[in-house]
Amino acid sequence: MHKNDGAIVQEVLAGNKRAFGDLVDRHKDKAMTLAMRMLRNREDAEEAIQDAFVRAFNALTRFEWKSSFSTWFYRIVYNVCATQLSRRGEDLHIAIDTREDEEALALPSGELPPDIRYESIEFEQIVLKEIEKLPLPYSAVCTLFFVHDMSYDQIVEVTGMPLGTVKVRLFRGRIMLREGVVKQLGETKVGVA
Amino acid sequence: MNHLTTNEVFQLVDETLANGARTKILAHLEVCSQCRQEVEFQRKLLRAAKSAPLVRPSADLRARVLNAVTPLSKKSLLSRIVNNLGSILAMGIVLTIVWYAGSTTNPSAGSQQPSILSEAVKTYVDYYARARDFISKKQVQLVGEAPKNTSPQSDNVLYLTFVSIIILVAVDRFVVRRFMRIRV
Repeated sequence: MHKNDGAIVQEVLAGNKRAFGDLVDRHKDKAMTLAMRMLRNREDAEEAIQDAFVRAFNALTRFEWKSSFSTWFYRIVYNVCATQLSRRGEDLHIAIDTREDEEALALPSGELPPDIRYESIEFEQIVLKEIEKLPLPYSAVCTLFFVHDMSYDQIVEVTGMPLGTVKVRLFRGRIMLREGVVKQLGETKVGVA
Repeated sequence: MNHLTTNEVFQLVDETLANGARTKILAHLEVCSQCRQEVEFQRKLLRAAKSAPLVRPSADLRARVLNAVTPLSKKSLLSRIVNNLGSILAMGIVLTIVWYAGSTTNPSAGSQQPSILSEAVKTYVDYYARARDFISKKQVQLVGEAPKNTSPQSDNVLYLTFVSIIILVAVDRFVVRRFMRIRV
């Protein structure tokens, strides 16, 4: 029977530490994806998520269920990765202009190629490649939105950023994604019938 | 004709528009092919982004995490012996001394002259015999406070024992545990 996160957490707190392995299996792929998008290095990402899981285990007794387990856990992953980035000298939380009026008013420039084959593998590969190329301030927020399917409020909870900053970063990240994909479609002519 | 803003396109695609605004935008899409094309593009982009393959960690992640969070259950007998080597050595030395003291206090044990060590241990044993007598007579003596009629040698043995225990604990904590790198 498929147990939810809460049931597994209760089992672990009752003394069955090995049940924590089920939580690891359930969240490891999304955690690794987030870590890779932030750290851009496989070794560092592996180390970060292992660290995050151990920290989560040690903090389970303090988990108050104010949010879902996944939101709480990915906050730990995000913070561990952010710490690694700051050790490297890279700052996730650089100040950006939160005014979005200009972008909000204009339809994106860049004409779409005609007859795009959206169902082609090439289109999906181009999208994935452009997501991976997103600059650091935008990649984490976009990953949480696209991969983890989080709402704005959940992203705020995970990243600790103000709501306005999350909205702007997601907005700009999606615009960059669009521009990158359109450019690739135009250059490679793949994904176009 | 005014086209949709980027924000409106995103909100439509994310299905976060209020009913009134949505109706207005859908009406615009009926007559604007450029916006229709853009909305379709953003929908497909969003679908592709959400269905992009996840990055998988190495296969042994679960085992590594569980080893890190449940180390005690994994330790073998050998590991426990290694980690407590200092304490075991200390216990061994004490038991050796006690055995040695016991074997040399037997007056019929050969004609060999008692060594300085055996004399010291004998004095040590005598000291605690006297201490038991004192306690039985409801006289409590603090450890380290020599009885009135003991020999100077018993004081030396006491200090030697005390210092030896301190040295053995320090060796265990700061040398043996730090430099023994065996992980079992």
